[in-house]
Formats: sequence, C-alpha cells, structure tokens
Amino acid sequence: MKSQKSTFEDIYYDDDIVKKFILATMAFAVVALLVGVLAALQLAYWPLNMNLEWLTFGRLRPLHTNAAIFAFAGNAIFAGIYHSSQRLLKTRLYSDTLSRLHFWGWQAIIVAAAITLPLGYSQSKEYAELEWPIDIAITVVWVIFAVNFFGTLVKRREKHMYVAIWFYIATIVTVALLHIVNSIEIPVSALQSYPVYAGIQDAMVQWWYGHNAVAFFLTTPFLGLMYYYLPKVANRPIYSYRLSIIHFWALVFIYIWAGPHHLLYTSLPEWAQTLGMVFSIMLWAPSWGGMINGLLTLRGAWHLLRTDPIIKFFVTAITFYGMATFEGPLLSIKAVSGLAHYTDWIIGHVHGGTLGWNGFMIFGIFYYLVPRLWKTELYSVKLAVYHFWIGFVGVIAYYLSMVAAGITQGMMWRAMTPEGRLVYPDFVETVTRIVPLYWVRAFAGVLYLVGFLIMVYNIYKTIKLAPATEPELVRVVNTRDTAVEESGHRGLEGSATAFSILTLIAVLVGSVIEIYPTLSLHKYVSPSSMVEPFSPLEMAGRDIYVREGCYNCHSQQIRPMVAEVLRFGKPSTIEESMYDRPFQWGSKRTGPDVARVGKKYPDLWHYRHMLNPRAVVPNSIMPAYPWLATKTTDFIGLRKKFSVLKGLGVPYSEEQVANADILAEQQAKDIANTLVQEGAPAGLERKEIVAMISYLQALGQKAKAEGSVRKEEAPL
Amino acid sequence: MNILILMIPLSLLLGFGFLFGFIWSVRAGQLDDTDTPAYRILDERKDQQ
Amino acid sequence: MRLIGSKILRYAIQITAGRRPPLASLSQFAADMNANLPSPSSLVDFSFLDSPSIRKKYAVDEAETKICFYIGGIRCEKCVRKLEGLVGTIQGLRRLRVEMGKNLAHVEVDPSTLSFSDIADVIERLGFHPIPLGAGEYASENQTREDRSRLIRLAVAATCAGNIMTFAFATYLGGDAQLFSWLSFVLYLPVVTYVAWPFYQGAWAALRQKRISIDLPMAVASLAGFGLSVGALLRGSFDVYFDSLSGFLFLILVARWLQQRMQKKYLDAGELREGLRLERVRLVQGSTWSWVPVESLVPQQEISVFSNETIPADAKLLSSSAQVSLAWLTGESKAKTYLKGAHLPAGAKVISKQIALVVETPLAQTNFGSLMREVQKFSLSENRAIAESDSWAQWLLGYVFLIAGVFVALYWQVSPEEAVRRAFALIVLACPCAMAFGTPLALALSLKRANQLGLMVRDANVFEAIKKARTVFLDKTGTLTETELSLVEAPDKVPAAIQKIVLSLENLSVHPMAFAFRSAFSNQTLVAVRDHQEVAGIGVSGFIENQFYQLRASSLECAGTSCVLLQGSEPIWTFNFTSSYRVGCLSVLTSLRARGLRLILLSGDSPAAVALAAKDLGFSDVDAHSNLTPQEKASVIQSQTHTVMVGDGINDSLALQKADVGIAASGGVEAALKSAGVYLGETGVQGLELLFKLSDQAYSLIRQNLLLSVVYNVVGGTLALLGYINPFVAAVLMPISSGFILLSTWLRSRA
Repeated sequence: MKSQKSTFEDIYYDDDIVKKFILATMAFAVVALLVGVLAALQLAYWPLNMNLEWLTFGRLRPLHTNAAIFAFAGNAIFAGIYHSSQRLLKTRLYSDTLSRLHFWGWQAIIVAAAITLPLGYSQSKEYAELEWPIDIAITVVWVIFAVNFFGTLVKRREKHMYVAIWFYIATIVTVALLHIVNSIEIPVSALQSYPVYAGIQDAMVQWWYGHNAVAFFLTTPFLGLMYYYLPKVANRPIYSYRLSIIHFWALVFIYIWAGPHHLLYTSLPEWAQTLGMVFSIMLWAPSWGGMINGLLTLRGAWHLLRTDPIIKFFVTAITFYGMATFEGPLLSIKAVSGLAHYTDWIIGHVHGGTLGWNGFMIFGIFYYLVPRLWKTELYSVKLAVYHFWIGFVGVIAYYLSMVAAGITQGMMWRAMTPEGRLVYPDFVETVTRIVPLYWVRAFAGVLYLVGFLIMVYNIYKTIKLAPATEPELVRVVNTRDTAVEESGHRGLEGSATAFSILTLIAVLVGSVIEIYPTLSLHKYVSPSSMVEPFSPLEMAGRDIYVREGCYNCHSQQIRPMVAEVLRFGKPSTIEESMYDRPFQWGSKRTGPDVARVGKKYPDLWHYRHMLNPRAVVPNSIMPAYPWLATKTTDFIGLRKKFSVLKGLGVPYSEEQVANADILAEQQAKDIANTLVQEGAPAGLERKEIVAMISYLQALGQKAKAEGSVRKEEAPL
Repeated sequence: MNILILMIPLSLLLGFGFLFGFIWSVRAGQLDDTDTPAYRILDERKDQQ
Repeated sequence: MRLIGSKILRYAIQITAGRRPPLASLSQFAADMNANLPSPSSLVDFSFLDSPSIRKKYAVDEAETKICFYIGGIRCEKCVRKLEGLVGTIQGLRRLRVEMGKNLAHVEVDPSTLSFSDIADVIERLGFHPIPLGAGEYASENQTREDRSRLIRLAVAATCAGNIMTFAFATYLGGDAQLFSWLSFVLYLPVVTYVAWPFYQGAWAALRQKRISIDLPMAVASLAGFGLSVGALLRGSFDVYFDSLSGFLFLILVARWLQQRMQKKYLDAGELREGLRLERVRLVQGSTWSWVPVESLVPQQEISVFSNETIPADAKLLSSSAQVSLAWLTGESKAKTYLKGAHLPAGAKVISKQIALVVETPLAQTNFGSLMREVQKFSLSENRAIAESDSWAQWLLGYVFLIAGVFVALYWQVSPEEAVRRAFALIVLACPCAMAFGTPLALALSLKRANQLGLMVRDANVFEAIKKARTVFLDKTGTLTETELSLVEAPDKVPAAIQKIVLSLENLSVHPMAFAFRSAFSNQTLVAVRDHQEVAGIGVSGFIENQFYQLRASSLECAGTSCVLLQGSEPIWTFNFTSSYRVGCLSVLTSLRARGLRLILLSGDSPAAVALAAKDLGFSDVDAHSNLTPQEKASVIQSQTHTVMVGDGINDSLALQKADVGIAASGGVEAALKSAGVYLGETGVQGLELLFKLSDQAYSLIRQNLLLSVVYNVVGGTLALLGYINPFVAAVLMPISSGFILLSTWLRSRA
C-alpha cells in the first residue's frame, strides 16, 4: 500500500491576521462615521467646512464613502473571510506573508485615500474616486488577497465548499474585474488621469461598477459571512442549505445585469434601461430568498433575540437587507425612479443598506469574534445592548428622515400649477424646505456614532482585560476524497481556480454586453449632431470642477420630464457628453442641475456665487469657494492633457494640442476682462475661478447645430 | 459592428462559464449532500472552549 | 402455516407515504433488536463483519476499505460532530462522512489497523445503531449519476433559456433583432439537442408501442419550433420562438424534477430497514453464546433469543414455554403461548424472557425471509405511486395533433405561414397537465392519505378500479368473521379432568381450536400423552393414563364449529366454538349496498354456515355461495366485470388476482403484495368504506382538474387557432396552467 496521507493534522489557524483586520476596522470606522457626521452637519449648516477647502462637502463625501466602504466594510470583510475560511476549509491561510502584505497594503491604500481625497485628487467616479496610482495599488493588493484565498482553497482539507466560500469566490473574482474595468485610465500627471471611456460609456461602466460594488462588495461577502456566522452564533444550522445554494447561483447570475437602473431616464438607450430595470426587479426573488433563509434559521430560537445582543444585531441586519433589497427593485421601476432619483431617498436607501445591513452584521460578527479570538468574555453585554438600541434608533431616524426629505423634494420639483408652470421655480426653495430633515439626519448619524463609540470602548476593555494566550493547536481532519485524487481526477482540484477564471470571463462578457451599446456610440450619434469639444481653458475649469467634487451635489443630466425641462431646459442628449472624461452626470441634486447652466447667468454672477453663494442666492446652502480666486490655474499641464485627450479620440487639432496653454491663457484674459467690465476686481486671468467660469458657461453650449440633437432610433 | 464579433463568442462564454462552474460543482459531488454541510460548520471542537 | 406481516407493512406504508413514524415508536422499534440487555456486555458484537464473505458483501470498494452504515436518528450537529469527530481520535479511521438527509455514514478505514467491526463497535458505543448496508441498499452510483445529470440538464436549460430570454427581451424593447435572433439560434442549439433529448426518447419509446406520450407535444414543439424559427431566420424574418420554447422546456424540466423529488421522498425506505434488519444472532456454544451473522445459521444449531428480539429462523422451541407475539406476521398483537417442542416462525417476537431454540429453516428460506425481501423490493421500487399518463392525456393529445393537422391543411390556402404558426401555438398551448401532472398527483396524494389511515394500497390504479366497481365479492371466514375461535361454554362449566385431557392432547397443536382451549383453560397442568398423533383435518389423539382419547371435528352440521372429545369411541364432551363477525361489518356492507354495489358472498364453508351468515348480513340466497374451491371462486368472479374481491390473502389469492381489485382483509404478505392491490391491515373491514370514500375524493378532484383543463384547452385552443394567442403567449400560458393545476390539487388534497 502506498504511503497514506495522514487523515488528520494538528495545525494553528492564523488568528493574528484576523485580529489585525478587526482592529483596523474599528479604527477606520471611527474615521468613516466621523467624516459622515461632519458631512451631514455641513448640509444642515454650511459654514461647518470652516472655510477649509479640504473639508468642503464635495471633498468630504468621497472620503466618507470610501472610508465606509473600503476601510470599514472592507477590513471587516477581510477579517470575516480570513477567520471563517480557515475554519470552513480546515487549513491555515495559504501564506502568512501574503496575509501581512494584504493587510499592510490595504491600510496603506486607505491612508493614501485619506490624504489624496481631501486634497482634491479625485476621478469623480463614485466609490472609485481614487487616482490611478492608488488604483494600481488596489489591484495589486487585491491580487495578493486572491492568491492567498485561492491558495487556501486549493490546500483545503475539507472536501465540501460551504456556501459561504462560494460567496467569497464571487466577491473576489468580480470585484477584481469591476475594479480593473472601471479603472482603465490614462495618467496625465502623478495624481491625475482621464478615463478611456467618455460620456455615456463612462456612465455605463461607472454605474455597472457602482451597482456591482454594492452587489459584490457590500452584499455577496456579507451574505457569505451571514451564512457562516449566523448559524454559529445561533448554534443551529441555516434554515435551508439548499435554498442558500439557489440563492447564490441566482444572485450572481442576475446581479451583474442590473446596473443600468442607475441611469433611468438618462440618454442611455431605452431598451438597455428597461433591461436593467427588469433584472433589478428579478433580483428581488433571490434576495428575499436569502433574507427568509437567514431569519428562519432562528425559528424556534427567537428567545435569543431578547437575550443575545449578537442575534439582535444579526436579525436587524438581515431585516435591513430585506428592506433594502425590496426597496432597490422598487426604486429601479422607472416611475418610482423618476421621483426618487437625485433626491435624498437614494441616500436613505444606501444608508439603510450600509448602516443597517453591513454595519450591524459587522458589529454582530465582531461581538462574536473578539471574545473568541482573545480567549475571554465580552467586557459588557449590557453595553453591547446599549450600542444596539442607540444604533438602531440612529439607523431608523436616518432612513426615515432621508426618505421623507427625498419624497418631499421630489414632489416639489415636479409640482406644477394648472397653467403648466412650476410651483417652486426657485430650486433653493426645495432645498431649504428639507434642511430640518438634514438636522434630523445629522442627529441620527451622531447616534449611530455614539453607539459605535460604546462598542469601541467595550471592545477595548475586552481586549485589555484578556489574558495573554498562546495560539492554539486545532485538530483538523482531511475529508477530501483520496480515491478521487488517486484515480487521476486530480484535475478537478484545479477546477476551482479554473472556475474562478471562467467566472471572471463570464462576468466580463456580461459586462461587455451591457456596455456594448455605449461602445457603439457612433450608431446613436448622427454625424450632423456632433458637438464641439471643450476648449483648453474650459478643460482646465472642468478639472477644477472635478477636483472640488461638484458632481456630489450637481447633476449634469436633464431627464425627459416636463417639470425638469421647464426647470433646466431640453433633455440632455448622448452627444452633449460625448467628450466628457470623466462623465459628470452625477447622482444627487443637492443643488440644481447644471447641464445647461452655460450663458444662463453673466460671468460676474458666477464669480460672486463662487466667492459667496448667498450673495446671489440668499438661502443657498452651498459652501463658498474663495480659494478659487486666489489659486492659480495650471496652464502648463494643459498641453499634456490635450495630447492625452487627443490620443483618446477627442478631435483636437495638432495645433490646439501644441498651443493648449496659450489658447487657454487667451480665453482667460477675455473672461477676466469681461469680469472687470461687470465690476469684479482686476487680475483674475490666471486664477482658477476664471477657468471655472469658462467651463460653467460652456455647459450645454457645445452643440454644433440646433435641432440636430435627436436620438437616432435605429436598431442597435 | 466590430464589437459584435467580440461579443458573440464572449456572450456564449458568459452563459457557459457560469454553467461550467455549476457543472463542476455538481460533478465534484458538491451538491450531493445538501443537508449535512449546514450542520457540519457548527462543529468546532476546540474552538468553542 | 402461512404467516402474515402486517406490522412490517405498516412501516412500509408509513415510509412510502412519506410519513415518518413517531420518533418514540421508531426508536422503540429499533431498540427491539438489542434492547433489554445489560450494558456494557450488551453492546452488539459486530465481529461477524470481519468474516471474509461478510466483509466482501458489505465493502463498498474492491480494496475493502470502505463501508456504508445506515444510522438512524442523526438529527443535530452534535450527532454529526460525535461521529465525524471520530476521525483523528481513532487510529486507522481515514474518513467518516455523515450524510444526514439519508441517515448514512460513509466510512473508510485503514484495514491494517482498523476493521469494519471495530468502527461499528465504536459507533455503537456512542449510542447509535449502525446497520451495515450492502451494495444497492443506498443511493447507488447510478442513482447519483442520474440525479447529477438531471441537475446538469436543468442548469443547461436555465442558462440557455435565461440568455435567450434576455436577448429576446432586448429585441422586443428595440434592440437589434437580427443580431439577437441569431444569437438565440446559437443558444437554442444545446436546447434542441441536449436539453430536449429526454422528451424525444420518451415520445419515441411510446410511439413504438403505438402510444402517444406526454413527451410528444414537448418533442414536437421543440423540433417544430426550431424548424419554424430557422425557416424564418433564413427568410430574413425575426419571428422566432427560441425564447418561448427554451423557457417552456426549462419549466417543464423543473416541474418534472420537482415531481421526481417528491416521489423519491415518499419512497425512501431507509427507516424501514432499521426495523427489519436481522443482522446477527446469538449462537449457543456450551454455556455461552456469541454473535454470528444471521446468514451463517444452519439447521440444528442452537440459538438464544432474548426478550423483545425477533426469532431469526423457523425454529423449534427448546425452552419449556415461550410467549411470542406474531404482530409483525399476523397483525395480531396478543401474545401467544407455545410450549416446548412447538415450531416457532421466523419473525415472531419474543415477549417472555430469553428462550432457546433449534434452527430448523434458515431465515432466507422462511416465509419471513421472503417477506423481508418482498417488502424491501416493494419499498424501493419506483414509479408505483405515479400512474402512467392515462388514456385521457392520450385522447387529448391525439385530438390536438389532429386538429392542428386539419387546421394547417385548411388554412394553407390563406397563409401557409400563419397556418403553421397558429397550429404551433395550439400544440404549445395544449396542456395535458391535468392528466400528466394533476391526475398522478391527486392519486399519489390519495395514496398517501390512504396509507396514513392504515390502508395499504399498492398503486394508484386501484382507485380507478374501485371507482368503476359494480360487484363486490366477499369471503366469509377471516374477512367478515374473525379467524380466531372461542369456546361457547364458560370454562368453569367444564370439569377439570376434561380440561386437563383436552389441553394435554392439544399441547403442541397450532389449530385455532387448540389456541381457544389454551386461552380458556389456562390454569391447568398438563399430563403425559403417549402415542400422541395429530392428523390434519381430523383431530388429535393419544393415550392418557392408558386410556385412548381423541378430539375430533364434529360431524354435526351446524352454523358454528364444534369438536367432540371421545374416550375410546364414546363421546364424552362436545365443545362448541364460535367466530364473531368483525367489527363494523354490517354497517360497511350496508353502506356499500347504498352505493348501488352488488355484494356477493363467496365461501368455502358449509352451506349451513354460509346461510346463517348470509341471513345475518343481509345477502340474498342467490348471492351467497358456499362450498367453493378457490378455482370456483375465481370463475364466479370472472363471470362478472368491474369486480372487487375481498378475501383472505392466502386461500383467496387466486380470486384476488382475478378480480379487478383484490383486497386482502387478512392473510399473507406476499398475497397483499402480489395478488391483491389493497391490504386492509388493521383497519379491518371498515377500511373498505374508507377506500371507496378516498376513491370518490380522488376522482372528484381529477374530474375538476379535467374540467378546468378542458375549458382551458378549448378556449385557449380556439383563440390560438383564431390567431389571438401567439406561440410566445402560449408558451407562457402553458406552464402557468400546469402550475395552477398542481397547486389546486395539492391544496385540495390536503384539506
């Protein structure tokens, strides 16, 4: 007989890396929540940016979302995946070195994000704002993570791959793909780049990414964690393992298609919008299957809900998952989207998901993990219960205030008099009306933060009081079928990896199909309706617009709805944004749409508005941007930028590229002169505010010929 | 139309890539027993101490 | 003597009905095998597993390293943990994998350090009762492969259909029709070949037997739809049906998959084996005993059977007396007393304390042995519960194809394309689901219900025959009357001396009268009998204190039964016995008559006895036949149509076979399984009424389904032919209508 591989071994799990990720999660969660609270307060009371450009809402919000998603949720996911996978696969992680590289690499990325975002280095693509060097770093760290995970998978001792593992695989593979596809960009400087996609293509890729970031970063990994930790905590098996498998396959198959629901009523081809809507509605079924599976796991053990704070967190989290996945498809129905899009309802929706589902899952998992990893008891169960209730009230208040604000504002935007005029023609009216709700939201955020600080204290005390312990030997049994291996089916073992690659290809293909209509842009753009690309100065202004994160509050996409057309002008067309790199359609209107703001106001209006918005719009909540009048425009960089843009297909002449800076300076001088004539101080021509004004005045003014902006109805 | 030439084989890959994953898991016996795995994860002899 | 196996059947029934017996009774049942033994020596000795032949029999693989145990009662993670946790603690145990759903443990050992018996011992010590399973007793490789391929087919169908639907949707919404139609065509290729293959197979197999199967419309739809669509594509039109067809085939596959799963669940016989298995037996060797496998027993070996254990062979009693229960065999729960030298049947359960026996016939050749095999075969065989698609479906499908053909012929002049299109819509729309799914489901659920009520109905076709029945033939003894006899006189009126004589003469007899005597004169001691003789059909005789006595059947013709005790040739006492009518007998007969059924009494008994019973039970003279041989009974039945025969499983087996429905009211298990479609078991004759009621219910449900189906098909078909329903809509409507029928059937049969 051949030497038989030992069927059981005593090994050490790598719990140190799990502890590291837990501590990082706790630390960065404080940052994410603090920044969130500050941003919320700024919307209620604009002076809270303290006149610092690094703290304006446009720069804080990306910091908040990135910190929440990648630092808070991300680190928690890694902690959970590394902890549960070792136990599910009955093996130590593939490589300790890779684990550490993963950990420190990821923290470095977060720190880099925390520095660059307030400084205004941003690609302006939501949840993908980080600039190209960090994008590359993310890719590298993610690949390290993937190698470490799949290495663990290959050397696993457990034959069966528990359903959680499948969710992790989907997460790793898909996020890699999403990130890479969405980050294809051409650098123009150390910290700036232009995406290869423009306008609608960029929008499509971005929202395919944005939607799936939610799907595969905030949903699938957490479902995997739920399928592991919920049964563990409740000490009872998942209600239906079969259902969980169906849940997985249905979810990965449908999720990837639902992206276009973020672009309803935009200039995306109608059929692609409807397809996205249909898939979004289909998502409801598997999502609720998962929720029901989670909740029914506790059948017969509901008393735990009263006694065990972890179960409280889990049940609430799963309920929020159910609510969010019910609301999501609802919001992707065109009629509902028409009302809710660009309003705070969407903000409420995502916070229900992140605070309720992700946050509470993480809290539950950590309350379970920390005492186990540090071999001690939780310092105070009572404090955990307080955390739960304070956090719970926080989430509810947050959600309700935002839905109320969203619906209120949405109704006001579309309110019409019998004569066919807008009831609230002044946009700012619809903003001031909901400011009280912004206060409620900020208060809700504070509650959530306070709850979390209680947790920080509780965890700190727990760890502090924990005895020093040595890592523990664990006996694990190898259940993989030696017979299969011996009989030459070893190839199957590599299949998990092959599967991952195929999934990657598969997701890529699905994505190509989805993005396809945008890649064949020429079919939708009639040659007679081409638009002019931006001039060098306008481009410089546009980069400032991007830097300041204006898209966080101002959309550039007028939907084909009567009220909207009355308020902002003709519906936006595909052609108008065909040279937009990155696209600036936006997703939220805290301020009015600016797609056709060009030539609507004199230059001086913009000048005064930028320095002090309330000078021209008395009740405006927009922060002031006085530094635009003092900072100097980067004229020199324009040549490089234009050569990159030309390379990407923007029809600039060689001459324009070669003289980009000179052309820009000329245009700046003209605008500065105009400003002086209108009463502004002299000497602004090299200042950023002039570039900004030139960009704003060009918005909606670039169509070559009137009446040629129709959408071609030709088949795809 | 160039993109279509890429898209057709790729779209087939999409469907059959997922399918391959599923078929692999069925063939590897991953779905033979859909009762015990749910219970098995609750087994952590040492970890629970 | 033929024995009956009602309790085993009850378990078979409960398990085939998908209803698990209550846990308590099950564990009691399982404990029957080895309970009542003091621990720890009481633990079962599995060493027989290590004898080479047994080892070979149970090993899963050639190398004899793997074995599969059936282990009941794995219900929580603690059991899984206990069992699987053995790996790593037991040397030489390479693998132990529990499969909860099937109550199996797959074990692999290193034979050099651990034997099968060792690991079985360990499992037993943990408090489980491992039962080694031989090849073919659990989901075989084939079964697994079949399940897997079914799942894969389903996945291929889902993938193709899902993508085709997406493309189709894009087209409807204004996407590029040409592109997406051709894409759909490519994706439909695996559907029309691989996915639809079982439909072609089924349809073709039926056609070769000149039947129209339910697979035919699917096959035709798949192929015709493909042809039509390809034709359209080639003509440059994008009027294609790939989306509807692939979705349609996918849904049908899903429906079938669910149906098969449900069926398999009902037929899972795992728990049955737990109770039925006779693995080991105590072989007495001098003053000690040791476990040996039952298979190894040979005649003349002495065995020991403890209380609550089952006698594993036909054997002669060595102990002075034994109380045994024949509950598994006859359904009679009252213990019977046997005395030394009596022949005890395999399958009898010992009630008294430990007894010693000499093996006469090894288990395999006993009635009980064959019964066990039959029961296993019965419970494992598939497709019993689901009737073949019946004539209604064929009728409907035949018409659909006919109408489609005629329509195409007639409409051809107007527009060949439209003609084919509408005919195609009709075929896709036509739903034989009421018959194909609704009827079997209704029948299966009635079957389950019958079995829950304690009736054993072999297959669902019985309900149809019951529904059509016009004449019900009834046997008398054992059917309408009890088989057991009892003395008419009070025992204390019989002198003690006579009691003693009678009891001594009847000591070893198993005649019903002997049992009646034993139960009546229980207090008497026995006296020695010399030259004892028992002649079947005549009686017993022997010398007691040099005086010749005989006890013989009375020659007097009377309604009851009697025997007379002769001293020498002088009759000194006459005993009269009666057998009572079974409980509820008369009311059942009355209710059957109220249904307009003609009831005929068929008996082998004397005319006087039959006449009396006929009078009591309301049979007219014409309808009460006496003195019939089994062959005569059969021929009487054959002279009628739509017949039901209710009788004894053994004596009437021929008659039971000849009737459209044979109902065994008592008798052997083989009869119940082979000759009769129904076994009344513990419900007794009252079960008859239940059976008719259930049949009524099932058929009212089926009629309702048919009515719905006819309305749907006529209305839908008309609309399709008029062009109001295109094939796409038809493909949506068809699965919806199937689902509706399935749901309504399921809901109503639960009520």
